[in-house]
Order: sequence, then C-alpha cells, then structure tokens
Amino acid sequence: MSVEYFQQLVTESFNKIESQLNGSATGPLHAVRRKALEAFQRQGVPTTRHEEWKYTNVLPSLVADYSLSLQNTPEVKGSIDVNPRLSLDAYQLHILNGQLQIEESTLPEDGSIEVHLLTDTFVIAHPEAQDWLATLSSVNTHPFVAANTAMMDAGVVVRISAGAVLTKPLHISIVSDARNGNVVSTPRIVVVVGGQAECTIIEEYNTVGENASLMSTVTQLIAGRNSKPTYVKLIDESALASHIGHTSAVVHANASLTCVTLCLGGKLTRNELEVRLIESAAEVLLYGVSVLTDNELADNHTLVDHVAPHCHSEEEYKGVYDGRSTGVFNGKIMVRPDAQKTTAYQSSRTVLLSASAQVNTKPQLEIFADDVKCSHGATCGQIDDEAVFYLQSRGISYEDARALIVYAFAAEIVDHVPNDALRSLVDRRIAEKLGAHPFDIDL
Amino acid sequence: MTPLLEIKDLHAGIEGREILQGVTLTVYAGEVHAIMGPNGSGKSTLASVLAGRAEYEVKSGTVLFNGQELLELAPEDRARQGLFMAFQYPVEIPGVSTANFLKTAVNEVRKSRGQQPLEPAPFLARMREKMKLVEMDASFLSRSLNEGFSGGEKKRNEIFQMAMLEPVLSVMDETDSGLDIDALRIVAEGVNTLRSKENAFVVITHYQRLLNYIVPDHVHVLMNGRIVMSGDKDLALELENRGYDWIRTDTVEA
Repeated sequence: MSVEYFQQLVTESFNKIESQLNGSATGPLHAVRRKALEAFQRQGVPTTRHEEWKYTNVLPSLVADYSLSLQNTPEVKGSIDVNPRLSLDAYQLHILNGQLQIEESTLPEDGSIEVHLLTDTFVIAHPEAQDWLATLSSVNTHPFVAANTAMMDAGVVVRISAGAVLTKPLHISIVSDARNGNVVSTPRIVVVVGGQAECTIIEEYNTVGENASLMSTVTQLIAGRNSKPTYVKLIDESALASHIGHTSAVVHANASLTCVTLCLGGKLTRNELEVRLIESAAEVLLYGVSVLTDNELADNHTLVDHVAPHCHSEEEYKGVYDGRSTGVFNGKIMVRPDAQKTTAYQSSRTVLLSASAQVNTKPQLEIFADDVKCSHGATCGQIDDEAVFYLQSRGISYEDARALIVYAFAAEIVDHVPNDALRSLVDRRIAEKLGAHPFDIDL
Repeated sequence: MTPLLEIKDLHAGIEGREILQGVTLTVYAGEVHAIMGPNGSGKSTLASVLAGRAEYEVKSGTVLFNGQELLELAPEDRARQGLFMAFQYPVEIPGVSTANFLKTAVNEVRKSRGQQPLEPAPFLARMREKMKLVEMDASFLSRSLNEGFSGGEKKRNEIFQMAMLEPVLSVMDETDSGLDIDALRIVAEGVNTLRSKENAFVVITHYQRLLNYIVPDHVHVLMNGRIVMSGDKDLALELENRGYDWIRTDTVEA
C-alpha cells in the first residue's frame, strides 16, 4: 500500500460510514467527521519534512496492503480469543478492530461506570458531548487525529460517575485481529471522569495474528473538578504492528491526573499526549518509559498546556534502547499569559545499550507568563561501568549486572503504575526484554 | 598449609604507567594484614588489581588465591570463590534495592558453591540479623543501594554485604576514609565479629587510627609500588608518630 492508497482508504471509510447513515448525514458527529476528512485531505500523510514528524517516518508503516474489508470489522465472534494478554482483577472493556464488544465487557453493578457508543444519536441526546468533542486537539494540526476522526465508526464513551471511587481499575483492551490479513483500525475512546471521582484506566493495545496492523487511535480524557484519575497506556506490540496514538486530556480545577505511558515494543509507536490544565490548581503528572530492541521505534510527543494559573505539572520520561531501535522524545511545555504561578518540570533520561541505537530528544518550553517556575533536563548515556563493576565484585555476572541496572532504571517509572498486578507484569516483561531476572522479594 | 593469598613479584599499572613494581605478599587464613603507605604508593591499585578492575593491566607476576590463579578470573568469579572488596567509594545504584541486590548476589555465590538459593523468609531473617552487626536500620533494605546514604552508612553497608557474602578473603580499601569516630568503631566491631580462623583480611589504610580497632597481625609499608618494610602492629604506631619520611631515607640508603 502506498501513501495514496492510505489516503484513499480514509476517504472510502468515511464514505462507507456516511452511506450507512441512511440519509441522515446531518448529525453533529458526522459534521465533525466531515471537517476531519477535509483536514486530513488537506494535510495528507506527514513526511519527515513535517517538523512534528522529523524523526518518525510513518511511510514504512503504510506500505502494507491493508484490506478495507477488514478495517474496523471484527472477525466472526467467538473464533478469536479477544481476552487481553493481561489478566487483571479489573472491570473490562474489549474493543476489537475498533468496535466495542459490549457482551465481552464487565462493569460494576452500581452503575458507577457507564458505557455508551459515540454516535450522532448519543451526541444529540447529550449536548455536553459537543463540548467534549471541542476539547480535542485540532484536526488541522494533527493529521492522524483527522484520519481517526474521519474513519471512526462508533466510538466508545466511558463515564465515571461523579464522586465514584473505583476499587478496581478499568482495563480497556484494544485488539487488532490481523489473522486474516493486514488490518487498519481506528479506535476512539472518550473517558469522562466526574467531579471528585477516583479511578484507574488501563489501555492495553495489542495485535493478534501474523499480519500487519495499523492502529490510529484517539483517546479523550476529561478530568472533572477535584477528580483523581490515573491513565495507563500499555503498548506491547508485534513487530508488524504500528500504533499511531493520540491522547488529549483536559484537567479541571483541583483535579490531579496521572498518566503512565509504557512502550514495550512494536514496529512503530507514536504516542501523542496532550494535556490542558484549563482551570486553576489543576495538576498533571506524566511518566513514560520505552524499552526497545531490534528495529523498533517509539516516539513520545507530549504537550503540557498551562492555560490557567496555579497549576502544576511534572513529567519524567525514560528510554532504554538496544539493537537498532530508535527513540524520540519531544516534550513541550506551554505556559499561557494567564497561567501565573505555574510550576512545570520535565526530565527525560535515556540509556543507549548499543552503538546502533539512537535517540532524538527535543524539550520545548514556551512561556508567556512572568511569575512561573519551569525547568527541564535531558540526559543520554551508557550504563555506568563503575556500577557494573560494583555488582560484579559481589558475584553478579557482567551481563546480569548490566541488565539489573537497566531494569532498575526503567522500573522507577513502572513504580508509578498504581495496580500491583499490572506493575509486576510489566516489570517481568521489561526484565524479559532485557534478559534480566525479575525480582520477587517483598519486604 | 596453602596460603589464602600469595602475591609474587606483581607488576601492574594503568594507562601504560607501572604503579606496582614488584609486590610480594603472603596471607594465611586467620590473619589480618594492614597495608599502609603515603598517597600514590599503589595501595588502591593493589586493591583494584585483586578485585579485577578491567582498566588495570598486569605486566608480570602471579597471584594465587587458595592456590588458584586469581588474575585469570572475572571479577564475579573472584567474588564467588570468596574474595570480597570493601570499596573506598561504594557506588550508588538507583532503583536496585539493597535487599534485592543482596538476594541476587548471595544466591549467585551460593549457586557457584552448588548450594540451593535461600528462600525469602530465611534470607530476610539473615539480613536482619547481619544488619545488627553494623547497627543498620532495616529500612535500608528497601532503599536503593547506597543512594542518598551518608559516607558512614555506605561503609557500614559494605561491611553488612561482607557479612552476608561470607568471604574467605576481604580486601578493605581505605574503609576508614570519611568516617567519624562512631562509624569507625561500628565498622571495626563488625569486622572483628567476622574474623575467624578460616578467613583473612587485607586492610588498606592511610592512618593507624583504624588499626586501634582492627588489630593487625602484620603491617606492611607500600611505597613506590613495593612493600619496603613489614612488621607487627607496633610498626603502625611508629608510622603514626614518625610519618613515612624515615622509611624513604632508610630504603634509599639500603
């Protein structure tokens, strides 16, 4: 498939959805789709000449011959194990090839999590949905957000009731079924966290089957006043899977949002994470770690947008790159003129394990308020030989010592995952990827 | 009786500079040897060569450890066979807890001795017991290895590790540097408790002070890369009183 073919695919998907609307193509959601299609057609697929895509070439991810018939169409139900790889004691939502599998889902009985399909009918019945849609990052500057929006069939709306304190995380497993051919899917998720609510949302992306998959995803998060959500995104994909994801969050007054992004593999992973602190005393904590080997690529593009005063943001990203893998970190902090008394910190640290691995780091601070505290720091290095020797001198082999040090470096980010079972699964996966022994001592 | 450590005419250095110029030293089980000497005499080079730091080159000479060629072994194999170095500057390792690090290390050493790994519960009990030796609080176990530890805490942690790994030969590289008098006493008492007929210690130090607490059987003066004088614990006192200059004169005259 060529780039032109992908562009054609976006248009055809849009047309297919339009044709299924039975002549009522005048709804508010479809209007959003139509604008997105225009925005996508105007921009096209970004090349590395595009400043925001300078280090991430998506073209190799678009060359597979993706079948339109498989796009956003789940295969015969029951023939596929859509169960996520992670087995967690959690509420479950399953999205297969972009479509919600409601009968496979498990939700609390008290109604504290409501799930709806994002359709014109829903948007008309819930006028506030128009406001949510309006908080999405601009389709005019984000070509894949435009593509996802144009191609999305029914998105998934998850509402966490105001004041709810969820005792279990909500685990959203998003699967591409690539067993019968190359597949493109465009999952769309909107999570609305009510005021005072506390919850953990885990998004897990993966592909089943031996063919190529391309996911263009968009997640929107709305953190209501005084809420405390944690959003974990886990991408542990196959070597033929490309993930171009965008998460757009808005944080209301006194709310505290924590985001943990874990990239453990895949041909190409792009995580755009944009957080807007739109009311005072809001807070966001962003953590991310990428552990890559072979020819994998992971690009973390973050934006923390301080719109309101007295807000706080903290960002810590780490990368461990082995083989011929490539890491990209682009972290932008924007402090708007009204955002006085902002505190914003950013750090990105990288360890390169091989001479062929590379990382491109670009911190950006744009500050338009004068009474703020902001800082950023970036480091890139190899493993400390002295630390390796210290461990060797205690009987640990050279290979194990290196793996242990790198594992520990990555695990510091994983520690921010609030769920014990998930944390230990991710720890184990990282250890496996690095050839380290995971630890199991509990104190 | 086979010596634990037998160094013969060792010449070694770094970056092309020869620092050790013919060191000969024999250590038997049950002994404590102190190696003293002025700055730049080669004390830390000797410790580094024994522990197996890759950047040091051995030009000639032999080192037998329990009758086996030590210099051919990787650092981890030296440790597994019972050699321990207490570092002058213990390294901070973020994210690796002291407990997990020691569990890995102790079980590697046990594995190489054909022993089963220790189960978590008895292992934890043993750690708690050995920590008391150096008056370390159990909270250190869950903290990252040496990270944010004070100078004294780092050195106590070295002795704690020594106690856990049960080496037959411990080389202490200026363990007393940067220690206040209380920490010095705690470290020394820890070492004295670990002393036995089966093990030996090589204590490298600038100052006699440590040797008030860890009383050596033999004291050697290392100067210009050679052991130029050996004696008993009184030699250390004499060095404290007279400095090293008189030996310089003596050896030049000799």
